Amino acid sequence: MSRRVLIGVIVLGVLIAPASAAAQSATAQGYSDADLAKWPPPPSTYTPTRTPWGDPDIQGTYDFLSRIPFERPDEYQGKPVLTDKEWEEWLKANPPNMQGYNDFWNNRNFVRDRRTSLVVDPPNGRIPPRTAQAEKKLDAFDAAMRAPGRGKYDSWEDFRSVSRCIAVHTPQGPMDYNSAVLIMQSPGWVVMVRERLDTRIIPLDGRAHLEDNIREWNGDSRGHWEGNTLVVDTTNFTDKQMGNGGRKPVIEPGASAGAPFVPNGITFGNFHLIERFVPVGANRIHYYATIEDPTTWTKPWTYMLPWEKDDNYQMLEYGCLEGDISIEGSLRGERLIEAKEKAAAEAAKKK
Amino acid sequence: MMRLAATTAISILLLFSVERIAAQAPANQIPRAPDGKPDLNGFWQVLNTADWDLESQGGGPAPKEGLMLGAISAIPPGLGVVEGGKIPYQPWALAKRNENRKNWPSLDPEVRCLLPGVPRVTYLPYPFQILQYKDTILMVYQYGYARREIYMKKREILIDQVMGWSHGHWEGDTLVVDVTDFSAPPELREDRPPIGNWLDRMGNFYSESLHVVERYTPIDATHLMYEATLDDPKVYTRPWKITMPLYRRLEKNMQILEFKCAEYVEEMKWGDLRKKADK
Repeated sequence: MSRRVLIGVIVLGVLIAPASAAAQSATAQGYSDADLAKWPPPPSTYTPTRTPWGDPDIQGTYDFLSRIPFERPDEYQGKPVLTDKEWEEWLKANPPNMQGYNDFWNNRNFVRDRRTSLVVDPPNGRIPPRTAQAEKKLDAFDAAMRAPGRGKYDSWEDFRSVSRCIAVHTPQGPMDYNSAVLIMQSPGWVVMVRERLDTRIIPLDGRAHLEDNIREWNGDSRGHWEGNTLVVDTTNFTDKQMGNGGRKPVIEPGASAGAPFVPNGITFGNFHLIERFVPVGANRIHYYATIEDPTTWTKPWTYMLPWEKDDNYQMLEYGCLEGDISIEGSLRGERLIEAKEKAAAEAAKKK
Repeated sequence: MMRLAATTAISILLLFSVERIAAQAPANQIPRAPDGKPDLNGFWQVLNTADWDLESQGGGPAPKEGLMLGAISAIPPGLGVVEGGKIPYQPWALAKRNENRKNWPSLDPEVRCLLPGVPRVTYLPYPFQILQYKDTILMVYQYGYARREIYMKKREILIDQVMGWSHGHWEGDTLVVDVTDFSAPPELREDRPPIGNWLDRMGNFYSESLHVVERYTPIDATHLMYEATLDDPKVYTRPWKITMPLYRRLEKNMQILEFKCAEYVEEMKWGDLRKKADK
């Protein structure tokens, strides 16, 4: 368990201990651990306060750092939620993976969650099989990537949208760092300000989706309240979105920048997303993302990510293009290597 | 039954009243939030040439980079928005502004989709949305990923930012925003000048010691008067002021669409680094 999680648990204990019965019911969590892995979302017993115009008030700064595998590993089949002891053992065996980053970035506040997969539907915690059409497309993509003369970075389009400073994926999976979201509300609107790059703007007035020719990196969102749950329906995704590598395993916990389940070469063009933001406590939302894309997956599926509110978290400016030299450097390097190889090949021919 | 209907009607009215104020208030009446402060929620945009040049300018052809677009990219004429007409530059700074002007468009941060800073973000030719609730006023701009949180309660300033740090308070019906702690443009490579801190496309500029005080004053239901005072002892001889109206976008289906210009500048920045097919 990371130190920050430990401190969080201790502080929570101090805060709750002396609270009166009334205060306790106000802060009580509206879910049990067993509920975490259920689909559809079990009803929450928590009732959020209201905005002056009558909407449930979910405003605040949230984060959703997670160490849960996206899909359930074989050894945990039939066990969607672990005991505390089993969870501690799992954590010990699976330390946070920051890949190329050093430990400075690893002081992270993981949201408490004892599940064995983020996927809650299908019940086996696995993303359903891809369609034959999608497999074919993926084969073609992989073949093209291995074709003679195809380099690692032929152009900037070989980089993910977040590296290009365009967009973080929607829906969001767990991220390495800087994954806070500020939720702001005004009459008729919910806005989600992501620490990195994007601001999602969601109208609640029942207007129709944008016309089909307008395609957006984050899609076009329309929201409404069902009781205390914010339901957001998103369409009009661009088909330019890149995922997280080809067929390689893409479910490293805490090591992705967005939607790790979409392999490169499979696009978002027909992607239909239904998100449910279920407030389950004063500081916690259970976020469910249901993906419907009959061209890519054989059936709809859903993952859940708990969001935890931390109003002391200060989001900072994400000056992405402002500090970007990496894509230019990578492209320049690739072209240099190619020129060298070409010169060497020509010299060998002459001999 | 009738009482129930009446109660329901009243609660529905209450529920929607906030939303309706902006749309239904007489033109001379300022919409107000439940706390009595002016309600700035909605979409706003300038209608002027300030992003071309804060000072006055005559019309003209585009620079060579835009010539093929003809009248589409020609420079429009404008009366200017600077109180007194001219920006009070120190002599070295005026020379630098003129040098900047010679290097437009290559050194203009807008050309590269970089964050535009404050106040430039306000008068970019794109709409922005204001959300106003509790201790934060949020401004989300269509341009790139620009946005600002305006804190109505003091926050600890942690780092310099391109968009600075915005703290707001109300003076009567005027939202006053104090913007400080701007960053200097980063030196990413030794062989290139840093890019940033421009106020418009004509090379007017500021330094990281800039202090901006913005004033948003509702003049009726659909207009705000926007003023910004710029104080930068490194660059100007005295504080100076720009003034312009902000117009409410009244389209029923108005929404901020994606204008992710990072994507639109890639070919310009890296086109010569794309792998070319072997002949």
